[in-house]
Amino acid sequence: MAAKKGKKSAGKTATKAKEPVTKSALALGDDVRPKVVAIMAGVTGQPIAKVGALCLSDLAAPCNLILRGRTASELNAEWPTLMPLFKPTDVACADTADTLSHQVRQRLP
Amino acid sequence: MMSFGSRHRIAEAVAIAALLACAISASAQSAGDFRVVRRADRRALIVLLKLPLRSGDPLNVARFALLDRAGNALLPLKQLSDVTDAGCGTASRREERVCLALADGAPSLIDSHSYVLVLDSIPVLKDGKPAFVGANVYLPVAIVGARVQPLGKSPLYKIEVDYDVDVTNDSSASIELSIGGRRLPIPAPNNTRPGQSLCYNPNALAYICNFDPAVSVRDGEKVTARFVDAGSGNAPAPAVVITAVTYANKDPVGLTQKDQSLYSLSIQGGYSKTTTTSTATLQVMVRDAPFALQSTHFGDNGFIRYTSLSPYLDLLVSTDASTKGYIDPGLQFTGLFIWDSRTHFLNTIAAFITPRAESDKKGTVMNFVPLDIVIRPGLGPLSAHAIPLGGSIQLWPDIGLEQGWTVKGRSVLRPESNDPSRWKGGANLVAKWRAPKNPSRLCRVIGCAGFDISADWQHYKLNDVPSSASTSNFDYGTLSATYKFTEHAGLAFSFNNGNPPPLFVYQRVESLGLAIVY
Repeated sequence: MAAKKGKKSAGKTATKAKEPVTKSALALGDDVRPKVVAIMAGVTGQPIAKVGALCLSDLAAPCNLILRGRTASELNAEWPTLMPLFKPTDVACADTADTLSHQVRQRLP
Repeated sequence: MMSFGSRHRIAEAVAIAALLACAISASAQSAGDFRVVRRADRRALIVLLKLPLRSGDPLNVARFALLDRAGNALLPLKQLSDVTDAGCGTASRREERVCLALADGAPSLIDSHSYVLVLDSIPVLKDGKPAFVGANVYLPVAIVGARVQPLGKSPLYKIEVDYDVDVTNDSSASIELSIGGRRLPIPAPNNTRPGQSLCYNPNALAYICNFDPAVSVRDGEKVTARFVDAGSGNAPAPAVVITAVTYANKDPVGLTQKDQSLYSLSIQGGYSKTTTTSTATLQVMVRDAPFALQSTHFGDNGFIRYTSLSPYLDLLVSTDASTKGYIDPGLQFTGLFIWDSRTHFLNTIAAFITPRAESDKKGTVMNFVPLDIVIRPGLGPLSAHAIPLGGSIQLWPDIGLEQGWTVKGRSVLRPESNDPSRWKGGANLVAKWRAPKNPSRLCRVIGCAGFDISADWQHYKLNDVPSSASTSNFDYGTLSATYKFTEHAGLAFSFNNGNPPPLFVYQRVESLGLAIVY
């Protein structure tokens, strides 16, 4: 299920500008960040290429509990086995793709 | 027998270490971005990063150095970092760590010895781009210990205990937690990973106990932890005293904890051109500051149901006599129902129930409105969308019902009967442009942190109106545009127009002034 969803979001990613991810990063199996970037882009309605180093509050207005909840929801849908799953309050307006990816990696089973 | 190359490398490292010893307090590029843990066999150090490594290949660590401070002796390291599953954890865990194995023949790490680890450039991915961390960083590796990490704000959703030794896949020992001397039961769900002891997170190499519902801690109370035998292994529990932490409400949030407080606060005041004259106004909006009834339920496919209770205040007052304004204090219960927006066009239903009082600024009429319910659906791209010049826009329609009692001013003539009952519907639009990446000189001088526009329109349909009333339909709209000098302060122009409750008297306020927004 998660893999299927992963493919789906990867498909969406392919239609838009891709983030520069080095070959060696892929070799390491770091597929967390590209998915987090796709989620942040989807939730904020911004193109993937714009996400870069921007935090949630820079990407969307207003960065309220609803936006944070939607981000948490999509992270949980992408990685349903996270421990613990993300709550709306676990996502901060200052979170970037890097910090969210770090949190995802820390919560992997 | 050491080769010439090894000796040369050690000599170089000694020089580096000596230099660092001189500049020990001047170091710290960002020592907080690293954590060092000893491998269980004491034959390696694991450096935990907050960014992923650029490559899964072994890292050349010839320029790293490890100094045993007990004897000021350098411990030789293997030239390449360990990237094996057995030596450094599974592939996904190795993404954010560098494992430095001691060279063959080097003495093992001793728990009672402290060390200094000198790093060199570590290639990572930062913001998706190649970067380096670790250059010129030295990390003190203290005597093996364990400590409760600084706490977040009460109530606590998690308590973290760092132990300086990796105990991945070692379920022989566990931890017990107490708050103020009272034993804290640790719930097994959310805290049990296969093969790990309770709370142990093999990604973070720390005991992280999650609590849902959150646990309260009072100012001055000690949060203590101790190792206990889990009875599932041969090894005894570590004989290490875990350093406790005392909760202080005034403490800044610790490095490992994120400030989970959230609030929406808007204060706007300034010179105004109101209905009839020029005067001063103050507008305040406070909401989204949960203090009770916080609860999160997780469903399948990313579904989240979140509830909370917050204080609520919506206020507009003016020194102009003909501008009646409004003061609406109360409580707001928020219910969010969120679905994965990649698969659901209706991705959110936000429900706000706000029992509150409402009054004009002089208290001529005061209603108590126990039922003020608003439903706000999040619909596909309307809930967030990009707009030109790097902006972002959100549009949220809403529909609601207000019912209450008139507690003061029952004899005051107005377009609405006593004991209000109204339907309402409208929309809220927020657009935002962030500050330019390369700000102009003027921008740098006066400060530029972005530009926001917020508009809200509400239509009221009154269910009970006196016979003298000419209509039962009223509208009220607000518009504000804020140029932000900093993230939280700016110059705001606001425009309010229409007939707001409780008096539904026409008012028009144009105001230019300072805005503080959180």
